[in-house]
Amino acid sequence: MVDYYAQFPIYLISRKMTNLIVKIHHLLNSNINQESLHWLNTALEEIKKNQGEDVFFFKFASIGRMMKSQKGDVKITDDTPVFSISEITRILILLQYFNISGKNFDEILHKIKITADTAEIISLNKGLLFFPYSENLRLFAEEGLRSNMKNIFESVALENSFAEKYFNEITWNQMILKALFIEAPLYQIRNFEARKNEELSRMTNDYALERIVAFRKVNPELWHCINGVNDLRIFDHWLEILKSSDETEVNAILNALQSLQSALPTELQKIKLEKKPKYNWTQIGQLLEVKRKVIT
Amino acid sequence: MMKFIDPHIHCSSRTTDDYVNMRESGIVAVIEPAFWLGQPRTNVGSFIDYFSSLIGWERFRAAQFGIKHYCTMGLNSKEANNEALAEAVLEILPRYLPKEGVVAVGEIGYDEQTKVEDKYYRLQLELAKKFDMLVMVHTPHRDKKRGTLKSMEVALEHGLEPHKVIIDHNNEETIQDVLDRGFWAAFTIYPKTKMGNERMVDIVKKYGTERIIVDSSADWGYSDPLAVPKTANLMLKKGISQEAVHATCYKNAILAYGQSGQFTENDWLESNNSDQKILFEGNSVLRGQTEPQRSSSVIS
Repeated sequence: MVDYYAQFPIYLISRKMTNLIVKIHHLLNSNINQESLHWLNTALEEIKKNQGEDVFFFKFASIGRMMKSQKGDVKITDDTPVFSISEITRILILLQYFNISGKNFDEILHKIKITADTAEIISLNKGLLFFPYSENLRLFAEEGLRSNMKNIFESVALENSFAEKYFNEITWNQMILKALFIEAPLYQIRNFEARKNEELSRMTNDYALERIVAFRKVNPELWHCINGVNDLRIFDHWLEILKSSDETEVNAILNALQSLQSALPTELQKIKLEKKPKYNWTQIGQLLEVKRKVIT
Repeated sequence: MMKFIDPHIHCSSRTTDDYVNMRESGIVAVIEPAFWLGQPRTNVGSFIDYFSSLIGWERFRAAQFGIKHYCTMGLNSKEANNEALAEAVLEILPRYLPKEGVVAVGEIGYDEQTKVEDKYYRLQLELAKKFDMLVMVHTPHRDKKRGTLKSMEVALEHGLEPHKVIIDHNNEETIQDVLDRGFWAAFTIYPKTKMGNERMVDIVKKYGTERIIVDSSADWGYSDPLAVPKTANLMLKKGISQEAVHATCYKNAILAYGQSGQFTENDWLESNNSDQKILFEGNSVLRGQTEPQRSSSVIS
């Protein structure tokens, strides 16, 4: 039986991180071919010898090429996204180096960031919860949210509890608003319901109105963000949409009606009582994703 | 042919084919605001090189195709959030602001309306006041109405005169407030995410032409460097007068940015036909060709 712990000396801050490294390595053992495993173990050994940062940076940068052929995704913890083999390998190599080098994590992260490619940034964003928390880490995550590249944004925002744990209300609300803008799946943002707030409701009301007066479609998931309706034109818009045959749009409004804190016009009050939503927010989000894949 | 100005376009991200098409459509002058690259800059050196290119290579490149190129200089709102970098940029910015052809401090303002963005917006407003410069304001694409109001309130708080501030990326929800407060209201005709030109026609029919400017903000995204001439043509087709089209697509840009003393009609009326053989620091847009390229279905 392989003693994983022997391979990872405990210089680490915590036993928890050691356990994590061992867990990742064990998962990779079961999911990659012999050639890739050999490369990985050799890389880990070389980093363990602490021959300097050049070795680490070279190995880290090589992962994209070396692991590209390894298919399959892994789930490490419930509160982090699914990782590809390349992505989790980057996390493992990085934590190994952090363990050995004795350097401050922020310092290592900063150096990786400067020369990182998109795949590396995504890997780091997905693994945020595995790293020691600091203000710099939060700033790094926020920078990911500002990206114009949808996949980078999603690596921070989706299925990633770093967002719900560490972002203040301003950052959180901007993340939600941007998700609506770029049609990232809102239903995949963890703990969204618990972090709904009045300011977000105000912002999304304004955004909805902006779309309505410009004769543009409103993202159905937007209606999940509002606590109340601030402008009667939104009710008029809802009445129009409720006549349509678009199930996602209709059900999104029906869901919003059920939880709305505003007083409703008579017609909408009647609809609220008589028509219950057929799909919940998760199902609506999933249907929208299918629809968007068909269009693109 | 009518002449047009595009007072907000990110030429660095456009190809030379765009310049050819722009010139053929009647665009005679452009203003390129300093903005971000699409992914975060990591050191002040990349800002320095970018700023230098706006007053160097890009100005030259545009001229090769008969277009006068001007720019604004500033730290954009997105990258203001990197405070260490923002400090360094603010330190070098004054070296660029007084240069020839720099018509305003911009495009500055808010992206997410964070405290740090606010700090650097205000500092740059102070620079604009100190150097008696115009300001080009980028209004946020998210939470726009509140961000636009805040941008104007803060500008007034710092003593900027509204007629010296151009508020860009307006829409139906912001225009009234901008015009009421005496600011210039620019509209970016940008498919899908900003204004469409049919809506622009409605705006001009409803609000007239005073202090209204049309631009493209064409950049590395799905955008159209011919948005201004196309909007002009659509306006004419929809019964808007030639005078009104001339105002929104040409004259108002001169009235607004001409206040800088760096942007005058004579600049392009007097300039020669484009001569691609003129070099910039020994460089030419030509690549071994002897005759300037014209768009054609024959490539040889």
